Amino acid sequence: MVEFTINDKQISVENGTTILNAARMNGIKIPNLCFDKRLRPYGGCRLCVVEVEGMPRLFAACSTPAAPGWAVKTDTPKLRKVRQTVIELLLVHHPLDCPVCDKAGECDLQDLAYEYGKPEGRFIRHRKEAPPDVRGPLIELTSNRCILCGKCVRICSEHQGRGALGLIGRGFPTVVQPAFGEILECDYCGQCVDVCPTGALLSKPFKFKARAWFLEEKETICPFCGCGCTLTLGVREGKILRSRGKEDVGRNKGNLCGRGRFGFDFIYSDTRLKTPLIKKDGAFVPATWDEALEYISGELKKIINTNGRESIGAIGSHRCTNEDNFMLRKFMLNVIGSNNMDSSASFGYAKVQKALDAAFGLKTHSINMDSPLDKDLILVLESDISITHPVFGLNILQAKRNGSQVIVADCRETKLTRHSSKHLKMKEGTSTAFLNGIMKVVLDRELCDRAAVSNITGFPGFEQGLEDYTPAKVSLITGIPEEDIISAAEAIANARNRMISFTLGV
Amino acid sequence: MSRLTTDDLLKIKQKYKEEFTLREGGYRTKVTVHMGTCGIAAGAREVMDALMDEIAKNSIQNILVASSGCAGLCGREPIATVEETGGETIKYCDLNAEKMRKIVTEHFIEGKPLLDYALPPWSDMPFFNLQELRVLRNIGLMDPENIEEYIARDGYQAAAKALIHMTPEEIINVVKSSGLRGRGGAGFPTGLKWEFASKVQSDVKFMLCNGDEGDPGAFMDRSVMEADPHSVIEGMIIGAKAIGSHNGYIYVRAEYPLAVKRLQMAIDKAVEAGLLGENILGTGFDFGLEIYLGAGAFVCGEETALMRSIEGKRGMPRPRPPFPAHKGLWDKPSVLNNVETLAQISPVILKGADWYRSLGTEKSSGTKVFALTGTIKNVGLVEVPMGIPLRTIIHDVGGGIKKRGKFKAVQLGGPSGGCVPEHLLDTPVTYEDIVATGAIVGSGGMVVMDDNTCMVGMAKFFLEFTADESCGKCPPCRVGTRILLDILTDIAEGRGKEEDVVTLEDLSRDIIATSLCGLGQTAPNPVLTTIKYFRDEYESHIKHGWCKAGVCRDLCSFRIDEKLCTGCGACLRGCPSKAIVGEKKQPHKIIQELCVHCRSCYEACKFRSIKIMPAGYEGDLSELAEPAGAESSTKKGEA
Ligand SMILES: Cc1cc2nc3c(=O)[nH]c(=O)nc-3n(C[C@H](O)[C@H](O)[C@H](O)COP(=O)(O)O)c2cc1C
Ligand code: SF4
Ligand code: SF4
Ligand code: SF4
Repeated sequence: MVEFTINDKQISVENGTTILNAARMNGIKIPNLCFDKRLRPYGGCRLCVVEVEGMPRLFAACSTPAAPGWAVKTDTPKLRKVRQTVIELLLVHHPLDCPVCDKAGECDLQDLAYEYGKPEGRFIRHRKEAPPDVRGPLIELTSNRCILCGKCVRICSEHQGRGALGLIGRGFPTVVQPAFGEILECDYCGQCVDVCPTGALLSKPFKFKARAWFLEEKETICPFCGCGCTLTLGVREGKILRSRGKEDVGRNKGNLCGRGRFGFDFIYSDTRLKTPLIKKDGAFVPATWDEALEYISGELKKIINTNGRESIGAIGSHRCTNEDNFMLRKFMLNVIGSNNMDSSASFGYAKVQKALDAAFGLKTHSINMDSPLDKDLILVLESDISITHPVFGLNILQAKRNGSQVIVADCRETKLTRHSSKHLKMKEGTSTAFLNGIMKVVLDRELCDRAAVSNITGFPGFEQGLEDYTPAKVSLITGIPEEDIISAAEAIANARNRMISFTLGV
Repeated sequence: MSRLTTDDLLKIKQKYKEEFTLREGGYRTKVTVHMGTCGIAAGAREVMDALMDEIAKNSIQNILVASSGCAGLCGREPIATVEETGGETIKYCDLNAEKMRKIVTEHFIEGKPLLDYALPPWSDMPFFNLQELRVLRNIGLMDPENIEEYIARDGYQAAAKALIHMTPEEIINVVKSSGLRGRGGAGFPTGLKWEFASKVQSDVKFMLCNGDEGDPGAFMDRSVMEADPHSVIEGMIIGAKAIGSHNGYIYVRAEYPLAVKRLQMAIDKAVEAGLLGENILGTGFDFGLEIYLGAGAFVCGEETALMRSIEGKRGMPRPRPPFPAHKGLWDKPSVLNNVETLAQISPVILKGADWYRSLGTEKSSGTKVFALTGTIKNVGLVEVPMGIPLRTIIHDVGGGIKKRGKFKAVQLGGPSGGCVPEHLLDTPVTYEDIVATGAIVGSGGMVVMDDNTCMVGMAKFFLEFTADESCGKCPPCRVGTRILLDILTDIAEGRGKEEDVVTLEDLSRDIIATSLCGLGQTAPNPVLTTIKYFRDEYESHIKHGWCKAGVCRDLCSFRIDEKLCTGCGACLRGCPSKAIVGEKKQPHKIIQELCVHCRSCYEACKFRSIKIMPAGYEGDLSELAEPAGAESSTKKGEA
């Protein structure tokens, strides 16, 4: 632990904690424009400089670990002076077009200029004169507003694993650009839009829709996949105008994928059903909710009375939240009194669920989003998790960055295979043989505690079942070279802890 | 060549000693043509061709011809060194093919040395006798493309000693107690740097060499890489052993093709001889070395940016910590040393720390190589003991100012450094003393300026460089240097405002305080030092529209003082735009509308009767002797 003070407040943090993180944990604000918790310290914007008593130099709080006994000051006349200069310099090339910028009102640059800026800049030359890039379908890039904090570039390459944006040129003319200046072609996750501290990257669908201060923010859960990310919706006069992630909010901790961020427009589709429909004389006719509920309960009662409770079934959906599905279940059991329930997920996960039940007796397996983060080794089986469960996929990428081994067995080239420590190119649908092969190697080479596993009921039969799955045979089935199967098995068995990750269709 | 053992090293040395004692080898004369980049640019190849041609034509038998790197006196290239049995060594300079042919006939055939073409004897020239060659010990004395010649000059003896007889701790201790400090600019103690990295546990570590040399006007490292590449490699092997590294890179800018070629050749030869690669000298120690070509951005010389660049990423500095000793190249512990630093390692190991400390001062021990350029007589590389006064380097080693100019200032440390004026010339060259003047020792660029230099223009020149080379990561440097440059340009072009000097100083200090890396932290130094020592020049530009050096074209006019003019006509003959009129023996006159401010008349007039006046000045020349007399009406714009 390191004991030191910030603005005379006694603080104690773990070794290696940066001054900025220590301050954040203690509710002390240090201005910055290039920091993001998810990214490596960048030290680019120079606004987080702080003074340490007895040291002539200033230190960038974001990248300087606190040292024992330091007396850190975050707000002194000297610091105000240099921060003022830095902001003044940033505003040299900023167009100051806040009246027509969607970011106004929630713009970090604006806020800091308000706090530190001078009413009059000494340096007025050199505006950048790059035309805004409005070619992409969802994201607009107005380079003139960019302060080159590099957050978009880093969130995209470091965190999103994509690298669609880059810094081009050097010195004053440096700009952020998609590769080769082409139209932005990427995951369209919009993470870059969220992290941009200025109006340089903005959402195109939201353009000129509302001033930030007129938006009401409401939190909800994204309907698109099982990750269950929290969306922060911007609502004005009852209409949803945008959706974004907010730092530390929800299981997604601010991350969102393109579907969650941009995919809500269907709710305003002309072809969307906006009222219940009741079929009358062979045709669906719009009805009110009261009518519909009354109709449904009437019909249900009728059926119960004539055919019994068991004749009613319900189908839930993985598009609904757990809470919704839980309510459905409760309704069926307690109100209707029927156990006939299914879900649209039967086509996918239900089989997995059955297998897990049969093998391990696991009936529910609510997934911990953070589970990849503390694993030494992650084996991904024939799953394009970055597409099916993008935000969970981000945690696999993050685990890799933190030093975990990621082995991906897949016939495709996916984002995960590109970031993996080892891509085992296997023939489609051969995961079972592959897993059997791994287990055989582990057992044959005594890479596990044989005594312990032998006690599991049915173990001898299980082992016998593996008889045929020699590396040579498995290699023939899966197309993975023998030595790769063996080394994967060794890596898996030797890891301190491990997880196997897969989604639909395995 | 087969793999060598330590015995072989000694045998090669012995063999060369015998062969190259001229008489025993059967040669009477050895001619070395110096073929560094400077020599080749000046025409050394033609000189060499002429020499070979004459030797063949006259079927001369007993002359040994060799090529070698830079002889140090780049301003006098092409140079050839002639050694004769029993005779004195003669260095012919300013050669061309024709002179070489004449030398062959008169000197080699007729036995009459052509002293007109030769430099004065070595011992009589302060340029040579004040120098102490440690880094440059082999330069110009051997063929850099021949590993045996390096071995003959004690090459790889130090590596053998370090690998066979020394533990990493012992190596580090010798380097530490030698007091050797990094020559790449920051002057960080080399032994300490190695110690940090050696203490970090890791199976992979990197030993790196910085051959980026981005300072305009610096060419020390290039000369060493071209003329003595093995000394760098040997230093790296010893460093690798000290820190426990088995992989290394030499980062060289692609604009140094000859250095790259010689280094690559040296690496290949060393690998062949078992001096690099696996099981070096049979000691079981492995060290593989590769060259990485840099694209020539100044900031890529900064250590963290250099490592990103080798990783194939954008060469942009990143904050420290983590320090490279913990997380450097590919996040592995790494040590980066400058070329000149590494070239000194083998003598330190062979001769010991006390020998190294015998020159220099307590805190700045040893010698430093400087690239002496500007308006100085002896342009070239000089290696002097640290602690000697700047004055000695400039006036004695450098031979003083060229032509009739007067010393004004010397710029130390290139764009990161500052200028030192006349009254501080007795400052000893040590890291601490130079920093106290506002300049830095830096990597060793030393640009001497005479009174024809405008200090505003000088600051502007360096800011043009840094503003252009800023990587763009942090606002103080990216935008701040640009603003400094704008203001300097305004001053130089007559748009200066009274408050500009204050703004320059204030902004400079904020840039220094807040920039992320050394580039931004030092970029304002040329501005601050020129203001500190030559504030009157800034004021004269701003208040009187007068660049007294006659450099800022918009802020000067050339006038002939009729009282001094003898009417010799020298100015008239030299004027390219026919702006000068006058009868012979009568005072001449410059037609201001035609004058293009090329300065040729100013240089041509032997009587110093051409005066530099504010732009559009029409008054009496004598009235302006004091700047106070230059009343406003002469400001550009109104003129
Ligand atoms: C902008 C910048 C440019 C630099 N360029 C060079 C260079 O060209 N060559 C060099 O050796 N060091 C250069 N340095 C210094 C290196 O960062 C580093 O300190 C040095 O290579 C370490 O070697 P040394 O300890 O042997 O001096 C530069 C530093 C900065 C900030
Ligand atoms: S939308 Fe996502 S993938 Fe596309 S550039 Fe932005 S961060 Fe990168
Ligand atoms: S576009 Fe935004 S996030 Fe990207 S560098 Fe510019 S200011 Fe930063
Ligand atoms: S000081 Fe200049 S060169 Fe260094 S990181 Fe900042 S912008 Fe880049």
